[in-house]
Amino acid sequence: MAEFSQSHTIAATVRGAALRRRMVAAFIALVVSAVCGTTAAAQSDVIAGVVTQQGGAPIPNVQVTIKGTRLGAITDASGRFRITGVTGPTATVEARRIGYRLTTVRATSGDQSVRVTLPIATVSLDAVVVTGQPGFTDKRTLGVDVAQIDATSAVQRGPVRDVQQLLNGRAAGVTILQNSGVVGSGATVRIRGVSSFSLSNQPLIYVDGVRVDNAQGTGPTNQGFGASTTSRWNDFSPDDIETIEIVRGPAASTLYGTEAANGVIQIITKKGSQGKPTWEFSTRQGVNQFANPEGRLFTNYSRDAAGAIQSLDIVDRESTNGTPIFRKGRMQSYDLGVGGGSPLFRYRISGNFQRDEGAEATNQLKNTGTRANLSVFPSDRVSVVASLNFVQARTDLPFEAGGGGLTWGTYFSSPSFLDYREGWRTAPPSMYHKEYQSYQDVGRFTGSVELNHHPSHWFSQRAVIGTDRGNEYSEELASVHPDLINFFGDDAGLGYKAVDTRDNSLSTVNYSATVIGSLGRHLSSSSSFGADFYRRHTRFVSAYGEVFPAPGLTAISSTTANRTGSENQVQNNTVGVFGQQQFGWNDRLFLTAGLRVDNNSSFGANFSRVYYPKFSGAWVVSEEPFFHLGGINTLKLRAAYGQTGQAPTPYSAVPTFTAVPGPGGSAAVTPLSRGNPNLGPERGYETELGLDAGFLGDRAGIEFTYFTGGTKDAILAREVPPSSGYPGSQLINAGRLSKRGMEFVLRGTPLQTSRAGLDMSFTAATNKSTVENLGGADFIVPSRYIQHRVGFPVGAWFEKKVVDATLDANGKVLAVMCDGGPGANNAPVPCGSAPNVFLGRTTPNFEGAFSSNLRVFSNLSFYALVDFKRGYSKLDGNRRVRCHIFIQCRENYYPLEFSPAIVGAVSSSNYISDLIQDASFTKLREVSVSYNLPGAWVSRLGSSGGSISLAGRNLHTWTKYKGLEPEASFQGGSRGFGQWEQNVTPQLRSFVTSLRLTF
Amino acid sequence: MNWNQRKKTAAVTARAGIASVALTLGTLTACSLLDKGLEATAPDRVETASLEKPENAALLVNGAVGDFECAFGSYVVVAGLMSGELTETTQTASRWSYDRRDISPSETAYSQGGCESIGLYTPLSIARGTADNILRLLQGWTDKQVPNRTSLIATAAAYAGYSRLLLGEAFCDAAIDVGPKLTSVQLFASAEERFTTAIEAAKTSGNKQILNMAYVGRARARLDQGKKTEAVADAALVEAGFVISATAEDGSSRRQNRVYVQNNVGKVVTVAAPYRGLTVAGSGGPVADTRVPVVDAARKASDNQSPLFNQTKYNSTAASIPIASYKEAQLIIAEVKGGQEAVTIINALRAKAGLPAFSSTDATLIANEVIEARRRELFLEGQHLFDVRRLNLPLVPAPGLPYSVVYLKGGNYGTQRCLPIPDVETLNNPNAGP
Repeated sequence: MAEFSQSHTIAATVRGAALRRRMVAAFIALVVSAVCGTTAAAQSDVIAGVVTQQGGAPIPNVQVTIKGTRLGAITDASGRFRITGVTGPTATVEARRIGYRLTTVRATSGDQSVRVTLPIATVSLDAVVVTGQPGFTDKRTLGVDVAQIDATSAVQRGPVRDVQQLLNGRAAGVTILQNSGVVGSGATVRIRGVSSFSLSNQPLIYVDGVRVDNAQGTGPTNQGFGASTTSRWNDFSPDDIETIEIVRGPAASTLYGTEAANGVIQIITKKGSQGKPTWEFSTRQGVNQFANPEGRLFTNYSRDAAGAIQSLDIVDRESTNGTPIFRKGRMQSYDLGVGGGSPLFRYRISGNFQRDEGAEATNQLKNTGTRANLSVFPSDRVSVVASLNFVQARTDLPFEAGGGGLTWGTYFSSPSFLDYREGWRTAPPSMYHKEYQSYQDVGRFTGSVELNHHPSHWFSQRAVIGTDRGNEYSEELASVHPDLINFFGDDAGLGYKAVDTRDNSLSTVNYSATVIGSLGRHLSSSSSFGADFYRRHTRFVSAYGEVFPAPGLTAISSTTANRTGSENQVQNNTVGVFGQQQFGWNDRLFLTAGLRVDNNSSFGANFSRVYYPKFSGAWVVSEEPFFHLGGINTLKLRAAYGQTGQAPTPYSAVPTFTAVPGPGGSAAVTPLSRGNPNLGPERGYETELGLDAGFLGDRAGIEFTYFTGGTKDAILAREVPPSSGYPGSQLINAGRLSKRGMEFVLRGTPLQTSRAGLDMSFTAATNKSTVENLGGADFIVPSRYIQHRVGFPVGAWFEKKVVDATLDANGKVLAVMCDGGPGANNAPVPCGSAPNVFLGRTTPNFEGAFSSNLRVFSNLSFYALVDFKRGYSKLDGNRRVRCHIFIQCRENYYPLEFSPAIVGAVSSSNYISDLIQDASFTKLREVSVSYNLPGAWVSRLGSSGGSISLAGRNLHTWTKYKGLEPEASFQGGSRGFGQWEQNVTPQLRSFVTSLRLTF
Repeated sequence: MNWNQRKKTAAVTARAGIASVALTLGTLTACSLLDKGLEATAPDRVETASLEKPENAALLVNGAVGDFECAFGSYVVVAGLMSGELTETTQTASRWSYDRRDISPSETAYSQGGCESIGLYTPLSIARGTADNILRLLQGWTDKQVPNRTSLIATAAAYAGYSRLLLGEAFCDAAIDVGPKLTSVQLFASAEERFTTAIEAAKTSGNKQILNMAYVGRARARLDQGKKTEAVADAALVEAGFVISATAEDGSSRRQNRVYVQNNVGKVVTVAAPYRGLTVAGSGGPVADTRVPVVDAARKASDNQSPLFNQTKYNSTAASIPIASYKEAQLIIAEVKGGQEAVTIINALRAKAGLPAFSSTDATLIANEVIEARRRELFLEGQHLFDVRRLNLPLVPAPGLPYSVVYLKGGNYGTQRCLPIPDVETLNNPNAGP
């Protein structure tokens, strides 16, 4: 794709007949390539060589091009490239890769030993960005910061198994809130904090220009309370990804229009490069484990029949007995890809298989994916790129959290169950595994075709059409096991089955065109316009039945009671047009203005289209003749303002009834939604200021961004007063929230010699979201114990705060006192009359990461990533269940050992203030050592290059949080807005070895 | 600038102009297409405006009756938990407050939960709203537009009356149509008005079933207000053998008998100890009271700790639950009249249940027996909750005892005899602020 960003100077005119001839030639070339596997590899007009770091270590995936042409190649794992079809005696070779400085060398045609050394770039203005603009754009022209993640390097260095792990700690302002350590589950992803009170806070995802399903919690509700854990983000193999670009806020995402208020993540997959077929094989083998359960899980108490206190540490008991509760789950993956091509046709085809086992015996993810990226260049002015991806996956899920399961039985075990249950709550793990099965199958196709056309040097246009279709099948089955009735009641004796399908289809049609011109010697102009159409259509079909007449029957058609079924569809369409004008002055000062106009099928009847403006400026001040600041060799200043939005939930604008079965089998209807005909989109707005600077010969660089903005006309799910006769809530555009924060990236290469190199990166980001207005209300309650309250952080913990209690001599609670709130100067008052008070934020307001990579000689690297999140609290639901509900904590039996406030707090399930705890943490996320195999070794395998690595993930956590794991909570559902942990599997520790070979 | 440069600049300017025109035209064309392609289908819902038409009158009345029947099933379970007929047996703490009698206005289960998940305020409010709404529409339409309009008015008014009645009995305060907080007495008065409307319309249309239902309803509403004489007058008009029930069917969760689902199927409630093994004194010794049929399931309930006792008054998910009956009307008369008239009624009802007769001349003993008869005859019919409040009966288990009697779940039994108006109403209804 990027070739065309270099080819604006091509001036020849294309005629239709010539175009058709070239397309025929391209098709023939495609067939020949596919059959023969190589094209024109023996030509003499070749330039080939190797790209390395300064110490000699090869750099794979470098985009190497012949300047002024579309000829190019991508380096293999050994850093080698080969470009054919070079004309002329000499050529300028350009080498470009994220994280390295753009480097050019002169080479003689026929030279096959060209050596290009790429210095690490701590700040780069020459990188090409594809996200957020009508076309490909140099970063120097942007008034906003677009983060880029070098996925290839991340995958090579660390034990990264999915897209969310790829994002974590690698881009400032992108918050990955892990929800469960269950393999196959997903995180909650937020960019620059919270943008909406009532709508989704998930960013949009694009894959090669096509909007795709970004669901973060689908599948069986294995956590209960409406919380599912399977993430569609797991469907894309990190091995297929070249880069990820992140557009953070409305200032940058304006042209994406409605639905882009939470930011945009663009995944760009690997493409083939010109040259003979290059095969790449990689495999990872490792283990997942529940780290130190003996030291982390609980001792639970109860009284026996005589009133004596007894205790049980079931994890310790099982370990002592040699029957550990959690297993070491095996991780394995295999990835095979081949790429190559000719000047007319390039391809990269890959397949991968991944099988990860969790710490619980029933938890497993099996994922098989294939991807084909095909590029056809019928002329110098036309390219067609097709990206096709298909994935088939099965995720076997254990129940946890509100869903029960092994963690329920273990965490809340009790000595009062030392009967047939052997101390486990409800049932021993093996009984759970025998009785219940829960899994999701998915088949997903994501495809796009991108047409680029440059009829002249001053006009280019691009069209993208694509689709993302996923078919999910989720099943929950309780088989007939009469012997388990004592544990699970009639479920076990009779059985039941629930099946839910979710067929999701997203369609993208996008067209954009750009006219560039020169208005004199110094002034350039770039005018763009375009239109796009997005359609999301989801069909749900569910079936349920109970009572299997005999063991072995498992089909719903075999059930004999309570058989129900349902079918539903949800559709949302967006149509938008946009225009953008950019002026450039001497290629160092750029001013841009743009406007997008949208309409959406969810807008109310009284609401017409919405307009989103944007303005930005970028100034590479270090290239001004007057700029002479010692030590600073690169300095770009940038500023931007933009708006975007988010559409309301489909159908929420219209008052509706729904059909229900009526008395005696008659037809009936019941109110469903009160609707709001004035409903429009939320409008996100943002001002972004920042700079990119390079110091000490660009050996150190910083990126700094300050943003301020918010969301106006924020949609509030105002609960309908039930006396109106309608249930649920009504969406209204009445809220306003403000956001501000900073993002900071520091990169440095303090050591760069032929023997060793050290590069380091530190990112930090703050964000502060504050409720400014709630349409006249003081607060609204989005979920239990959470309030959006004017003047406080969005989605904060609010409840009564126990501050003291009166105990008798035996520790029995006589009275409990709570914080009286601001109205009483926070003086203690009886809890019965106490107000709910602020107990903490639910999302981090400060986070970041530190990473370093130490290269020794040319073949050995040590890498470490530490990330942190601070400034938020989560609810320790394990403590709630143990101490407040099941009365099995030490506090319940030895109250005199604890403070009266703690004893008072645990005296009722209505108090939670002792459960809301600071969840700030720092985690040693990744450590790895990589070794580039010597040529002599790999050649024996017939390989041209290779590497091995050993890596660990989630190795240590520093935190004051007293719960089990700062990164474990319900994934959405009714417990969803705040992080709420309750018998959730913690993040697993994993160790992985990997081998990569190139042929 | 030389001539060539000027010429070149002019050419560029011309191209830029053409491009600008193209851009403008393209943008305008795109704008004209902007509103196309926005049609989105919604096969699971129908717009209110297209539904509220005379030809849909019967459908809307069916909806109102269905809404009430579902809400009523939930009400019977909730009333059972709060008044000590049933005991909670789950490990789900959010359900315990009914049983513990310490519901906070901020709790969502009782205020926003649906009728299938034993919510109360919202299901009753929806039932009231749909019944009142179709009643208003029917009163605005004509007989020509709606066949059997008067009979439909009677039905809608009777069910609207019962929704108001139950709101008053369960809640200390409640609101209607986003209006101010109404006390229970005000709600009973508004229910009485609806029943009067129903009685008039039922008389006109000859709808005897609804006429009897409205008489029983108005008698109950009047008794709840302390209008005892008027209550007896209505109760006396109820035909012998009359009963109208919330119907139930298998297949749809919404339509199932909620008591049977919660107790016998889900095992998430058990019959409380004071209702197990009840007997009636007979000449040959105690006789099992068939009016309170309860069996020991000889197993644990859902929480794996509480013993499960199943009611067998309703023997399937399709069993109907009486809303109003001649029996209830007779008990109202017995309560108000007392004396031997009450004894006669008690014994008539006992005889029907195959139980030995009761005899006494002590007015207090007779009055207590009427209360006991109501407890047993109307077991799991949603009557005992307001009896506990109206007659100031002792709370069982007693307030202050640790919750629960079977095993510790945290907290103590509370003193609530009625539910507080929930926050979801007071915080979102500008006329019913705290």
